[in-house]
Amino acid sequence: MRTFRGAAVMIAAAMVLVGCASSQPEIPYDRTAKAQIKKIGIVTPAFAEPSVILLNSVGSSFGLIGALADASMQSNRDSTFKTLLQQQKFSPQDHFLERVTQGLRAAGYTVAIVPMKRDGSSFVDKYPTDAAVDAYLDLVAPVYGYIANGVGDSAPYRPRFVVKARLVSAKDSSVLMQDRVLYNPLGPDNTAVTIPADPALQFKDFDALTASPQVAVKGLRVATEQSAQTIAKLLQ
Amino acid sequence: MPSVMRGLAAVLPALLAACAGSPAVPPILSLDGRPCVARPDLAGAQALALDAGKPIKLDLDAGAACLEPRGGGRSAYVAFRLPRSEQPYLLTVTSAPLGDTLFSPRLMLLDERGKVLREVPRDDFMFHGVALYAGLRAAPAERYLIVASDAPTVGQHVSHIVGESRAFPVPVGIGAVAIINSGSEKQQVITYAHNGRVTVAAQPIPKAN
Repeated sequence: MRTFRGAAVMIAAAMVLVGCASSQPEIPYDRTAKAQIKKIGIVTPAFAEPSVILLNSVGSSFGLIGALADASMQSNRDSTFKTLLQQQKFSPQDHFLERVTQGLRAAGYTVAIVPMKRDGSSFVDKYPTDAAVDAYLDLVAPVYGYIANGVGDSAPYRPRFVVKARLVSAKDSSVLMQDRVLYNPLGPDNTAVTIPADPALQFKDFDALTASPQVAVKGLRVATEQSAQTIAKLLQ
Repeated sequence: MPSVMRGLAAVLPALLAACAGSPAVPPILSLDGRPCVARPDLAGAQALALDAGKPIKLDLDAGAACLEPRGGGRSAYVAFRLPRSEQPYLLTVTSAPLGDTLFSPRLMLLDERGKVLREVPRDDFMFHGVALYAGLRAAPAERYLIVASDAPTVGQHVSHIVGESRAFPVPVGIGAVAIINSGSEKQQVITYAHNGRVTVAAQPIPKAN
């Protein structure tokens, strides 16, 4: 069981390495349809658990044994960070939804929240037919938290936020917009909108991060807000 | 020398070359003294195919054409003749850095007679890594694309944190090699300029999956 959990964590880390690249192409907003889109229903966003990823760790050089050791350490970091967020009473999901809603309202849309039960990290297969909206905004955040590109002073922990967005017409289910937003991309990425990380918000290691929970939350809050603003901008 | 080490020695120069960035190009921050026209020259527009596999990549340099509309600032520009299509299609424009220099782009879409139908300001471009990118649905009536530099933002800077990963081969015993991974990051400060590298592509609007 522990091995399986370790493997799952390693797969998640591999996804982070490639920025959760997917085969979903970027589709710019159909602005000819914008005149008909007055009311957007945001379905309950799908959020993974928060994570604190260390890339290029020492363990990654030592095969399966190193990978399992890494997985165990990451699991500890993840649970510590999750507790930190709870203690600071910060919900990235709620904050993100609030900021996307604000951004869409500022762009002139009427916004409704469409509650849905979410599983996994995929877009919804079938949207409700009874919601009185013109389009559904589907948001999936498969990765958020902190990431470091290695060990040492030259690779500090910085906030990371990845979100996929899709706007679907309620009338005919056509996809009006689809994109991915990456805060702190680290590597090159030509398949997503990227937001450079704020160089001021960093921690030299995980201990420093946990020692400053308010600053740690502030970093993730900035990442969440800027990602939400970008989603709203994609729909202007 | 063990064969594994010989193999590594052979591929190392190629790996290092692959890691090298694009060549450094000084930013052009002023177009003073350059001859400019009030309207873009559409006769020399490059034809863009409706084919994702046939993008046009070009460098705007000191020889780029200059546009200075009445009452407006100066811009370096390049014109493209857009493909004929009955349906809207995806038009993408990417400005990628040359060293630390990044062409600061804005767009104009013109009809057959050269009338501006739509403008895409610099602010509508978003980052794709360290490149600036805009994707838009082009309409059949839009026949020309002008990619021009955005004078107000030229000279401004933006910084990116770029991650780097390295793998070091370390001999462990006779003929055996362990690969040690390490990562670091660096800050790249980019300057918006009137010059740089632009890639334009047209393709059918992709299907969501």
